[in-house]
Amino acid sequence: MASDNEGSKNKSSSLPKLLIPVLGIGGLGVMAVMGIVAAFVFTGWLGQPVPVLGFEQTFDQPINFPHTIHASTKQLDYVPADGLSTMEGLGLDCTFCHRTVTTQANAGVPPVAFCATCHQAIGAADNPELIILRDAANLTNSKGQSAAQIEELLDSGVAAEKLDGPEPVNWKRVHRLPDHVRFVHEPHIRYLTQNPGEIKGTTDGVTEGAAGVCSTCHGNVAAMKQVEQVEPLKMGQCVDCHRDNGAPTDCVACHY
Amino acid sequence: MKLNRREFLALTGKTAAGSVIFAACGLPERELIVQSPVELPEDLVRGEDAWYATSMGDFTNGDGVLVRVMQGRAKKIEGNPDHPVNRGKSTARYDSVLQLLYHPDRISDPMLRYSKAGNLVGISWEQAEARFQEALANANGSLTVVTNPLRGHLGSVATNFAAKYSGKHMAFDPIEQGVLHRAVKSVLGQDQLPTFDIANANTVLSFGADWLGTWGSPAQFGVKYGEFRSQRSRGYLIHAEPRMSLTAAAADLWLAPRPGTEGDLALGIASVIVDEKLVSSDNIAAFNAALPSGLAGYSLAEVAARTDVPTERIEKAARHFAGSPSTDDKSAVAFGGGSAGAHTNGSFILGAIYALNLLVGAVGASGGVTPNPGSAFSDISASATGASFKAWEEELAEWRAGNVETVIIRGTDIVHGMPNSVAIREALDSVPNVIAFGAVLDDTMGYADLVLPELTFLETWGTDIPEPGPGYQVVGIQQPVVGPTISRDESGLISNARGFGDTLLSMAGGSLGSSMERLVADAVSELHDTRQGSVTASSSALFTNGVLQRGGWWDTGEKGTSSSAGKVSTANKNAGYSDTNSLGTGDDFNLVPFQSNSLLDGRLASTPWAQQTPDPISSASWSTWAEINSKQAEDLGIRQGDVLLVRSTSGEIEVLAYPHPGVRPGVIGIPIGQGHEEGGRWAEGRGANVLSILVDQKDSETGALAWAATKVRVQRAGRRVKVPKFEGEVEARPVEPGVPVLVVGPGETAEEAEIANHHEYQGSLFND
Amino acid sequence: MTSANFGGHNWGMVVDIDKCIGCQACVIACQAENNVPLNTQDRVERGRSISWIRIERYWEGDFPDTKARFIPIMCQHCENAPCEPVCPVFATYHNSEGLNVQVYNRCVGTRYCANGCPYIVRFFNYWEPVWPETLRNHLNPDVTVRSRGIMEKCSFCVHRIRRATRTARSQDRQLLDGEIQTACSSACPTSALNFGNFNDPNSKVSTMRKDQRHYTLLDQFATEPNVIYLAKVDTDRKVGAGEAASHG
Repeated sequence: MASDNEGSKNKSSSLPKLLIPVLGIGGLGVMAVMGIVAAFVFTGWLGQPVPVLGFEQTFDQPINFPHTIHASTKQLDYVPADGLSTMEGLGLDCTFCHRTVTTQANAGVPPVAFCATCHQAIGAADNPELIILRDAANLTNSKGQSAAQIEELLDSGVAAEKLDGPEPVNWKRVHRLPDHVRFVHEPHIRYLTQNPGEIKGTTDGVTEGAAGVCSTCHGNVAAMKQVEQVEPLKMGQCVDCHRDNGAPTDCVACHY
Repeated sequence: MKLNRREFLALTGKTAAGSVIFAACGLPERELIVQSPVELPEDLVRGEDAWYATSMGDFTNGDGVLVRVMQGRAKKIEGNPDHPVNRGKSTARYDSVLQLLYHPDRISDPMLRYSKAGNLVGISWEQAEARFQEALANANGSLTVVTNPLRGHLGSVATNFAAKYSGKHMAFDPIEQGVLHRAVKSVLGQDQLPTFDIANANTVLSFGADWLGTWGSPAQFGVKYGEFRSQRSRGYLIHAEPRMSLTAAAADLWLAPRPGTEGDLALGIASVIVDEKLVSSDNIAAFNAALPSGLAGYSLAEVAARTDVPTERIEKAARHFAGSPSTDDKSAVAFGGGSAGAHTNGSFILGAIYALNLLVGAVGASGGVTPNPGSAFSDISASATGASFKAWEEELAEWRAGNVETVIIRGTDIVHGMPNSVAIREALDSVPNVIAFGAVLDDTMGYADLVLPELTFLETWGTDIPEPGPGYQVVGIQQPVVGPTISRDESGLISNARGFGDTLLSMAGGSLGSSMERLVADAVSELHDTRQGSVTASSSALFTNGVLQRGGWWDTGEKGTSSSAGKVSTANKNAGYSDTNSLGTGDDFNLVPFQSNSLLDGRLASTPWAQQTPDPISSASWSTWAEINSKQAEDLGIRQGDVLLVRSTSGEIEVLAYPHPGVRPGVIGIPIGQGHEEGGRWAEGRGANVLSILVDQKDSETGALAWAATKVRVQRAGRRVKVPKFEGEVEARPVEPGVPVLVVGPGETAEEAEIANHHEYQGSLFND
Repeated sequence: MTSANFGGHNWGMVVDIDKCIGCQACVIACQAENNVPLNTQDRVERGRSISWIRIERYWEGDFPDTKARFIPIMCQHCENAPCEPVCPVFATYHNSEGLNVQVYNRCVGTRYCANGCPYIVRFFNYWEPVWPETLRNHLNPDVTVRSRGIMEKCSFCVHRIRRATRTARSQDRQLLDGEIQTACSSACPTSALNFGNFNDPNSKVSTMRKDQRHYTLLDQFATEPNVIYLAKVDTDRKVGAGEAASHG
């Protein structure tokens, strides 16, 4: 017996001793990688996107647009760039900007000209986010100088940047569905408006009005400084809700 | 790590489109709804679609279309249901225009060639304008503006522009219609092409014109054909053409006369009718008045011998055309064009064909010839046609002699369209300033000194008077339905193009009008002032809106009239053909070129959809093939895919043999539209250009090119390749062996036919 | 419990072959509407081109009695479809509106359905669909672009059905006859292709299918297609010729 053990020991010791920790650590490493991949695939296929491993739920936008200021009805818990510390949200309805959500497939991102309707007057001239907006809307140049100011600068012999025409803002999309899914807002908004009982309570407990309806899938956007996806929006969620509410579960209702 | 489930699954080849900037193009605000550029397929946010009505001047004879626009991108072109010409229906060409709009090889900026031997180099519009002005200043009277036959305001802008610089405006159409216009004028006394009341006709007799495919106004005629076939007593269609076209395939009786004897055939039919007194004596008198030389020499037997159409077929056609005695409704109509008029005796042939209408009293009658009225505008012609080939030969001689300083070319590819005999390339080389407009490079631009990117009809303003119209006054309005195609994404789609009309107006310094938009607005208010037509509105703005929404204006009360006191031209009754004696070995054929169903004369050759559309008859695509009779091919040892050398005294081309039973023996049919030197990735160097080998024979009356009068010698090259075609790709699943498509006789039910077929099949099994 | 059901429709098509002129307008309209990949010369030569609707042309007779017969063929949306039971992943199934549905995201590309289909109207994507960047601008955002390795076929323009149904529902009304036109039927100049609801006895297609010329393709397979053909009329055909022939 002992000699057998000896023998096996001898055999194993015939490998260079250095390799043992290398193999051990390497094996663990492989295991870890496999685990990460498995978790990645698992979360990717089934779960809610997780912020690590490339599943962003939120994006830094070209303009740091705060839904809080525009949509919230509460006092802000932070001091906005050019606001008062006691500023309250404007409480705009979602449909004020997302105008097509009640009639069409997509909610619609407002054109930059629409933002400029208010922001040519509202907001400090040196607010960096608004400078980007006003530049895009062709109200100022990228330094925040208005047409009149540019004229003055040019007259005084100082070279100034010109206005270069209106440009769309390259908003990043947060809520995405795969290309083989056809989601149409209009019937969903209509159904939820007609059946307020089906509206899912959100963190803020908003249960009525457009905000309540939208929050069923989008969460309490009014409380988000930066919009993030809070619901998984996977097919399982869609089908569960459709089944619960007697909506069609025919594949071709969404996939075509 | 950016891999996620969407990317395993959706994998959709980015359908991304970039953002569009609508600066000042006046598009409705609703299009700006989705402005966010999209970077991934699922980002193609679905906006609501807008359908804009416009008029499709350059690729049809004035059809009204609706363009589906989403996020500033044109997605689909369909017929405009309101428009009286095509009534909501399409042809196989409509959607291909989208690919011209978004063509990856679309010219983005003006290009200049510093010397004739040099390459085109990109320049700015400022430089291009300066160069243009210089060319105009140098021209000093020796200026020619060359366009496709332009209808509407664009045509008048081109003419006025040429006049302002004491130059001339010449239209070029490789498929010349001059003989047709002349015959219609001389026999029926009409300045505009008439339309034909096919829907209400009992019998339609057509010659040479593939009116269901490419001739005239195919969408208009197609709708009428549908009604023709659905009436209680199903109409009878007789078509005469040496090769089976779409129309011949749809015909109840197909006659295949020798090319150039269509006129004899028409008079043979007339002589049967006159001899048997199948129509009233008044009609016979009217017909005789139009044909003073009479029907001597056109007896049934003589005509049968000359045309090689059996007597019984001619008699059958004549009896159907005159109307069977049993029915009260004897409406019938005869018309012709296309290859029938493209002979040295073209004027006689078409004259004889249109005179047949007098025999059945079809002019102005229900189910007959419907005259079209003149233009709704005093300064715009309701008819447009290309200059005759004879005029072109004279003009090109001037070019070659160095007498023309500046040539401006738009909408027509003269290098591709002219036969080798006129030496068009040398002519262009002798012109110091050749300025060419276009969306994608074409063969002519290969010889141009200044190439200017042109906006398509989807991006510009204009008007269009359809020809043939529906029998009453119609003005189609063309409006820009998409903004300038600029995107900042990786697609690199930057077409810094301008409209042809607007460029001419600005070069003329505003004296001819400030812009096409302004001219169209003025035209619309002129229509409003008539207080007539399809749109009634209290204010001019409402009227304009109404006209733009409907895609045009029409006045059903303003009908055409005819004074049919004309005569058939009988100066040259017999067709002449080109010579083949010096062409080496091979077999002689009559060459009958035909317009491709999808490429037309080559205008759409640069688009992949037009290239991939199977030809209706051969099912071939992406190539140039030659149709010859299958029996004759067998005798000559020609198999499908054999490379054939087709030689005329003008040159030689290589085509792929496609024998089938629907061609007259001795005739070789070759589609027009391929064989481009330029034209982007899909057209360049593809197939062969049959127009190049046409021989310079002309109709003796009008000087039009007799493009169906070329004789060729055909020789096998000894190679064989696969014909890219759809036929044979799927197995036929017949109703019964030998019966791929169920055919019933008049009054027979499908079930009876199926039983009959079955019995026939069983019988054939046991009798063998 | 909700108004959101689709029911009551049985979509179908009546094809009057007597009016078909073979002009290919439907073929290109379908290509444009449904984001069908470009059929390049290479694909055509390999017999792998994709065309949801095609026009077959058959020759009958010899010159000068030649006849060319055209017949448009698209997915027949069979009630008893041979393609459906063979799919191992239920990627193709029959829905309550009479549509034979292809679910792209379920398809794994076994091609069993293509083998099962006697009409040869199912197409396999042998290649990743590629358009030059600029041509992507004309892609229809209502229709999924199919990736390599999956089957596709005529959907009866289900996206148009959905869009019109949605519009009607939001306006609280029934769909009108003729309100929905597929890309092909809307393009067809002669109205040979007609789309509509067979469940409505007064619809145009219901009236047309009663025509004595109606038949279905390959009815010996009992596939019960939702595409009804009306036979071509040929005045030269001798009626009753077969009646006299002996059955042997």
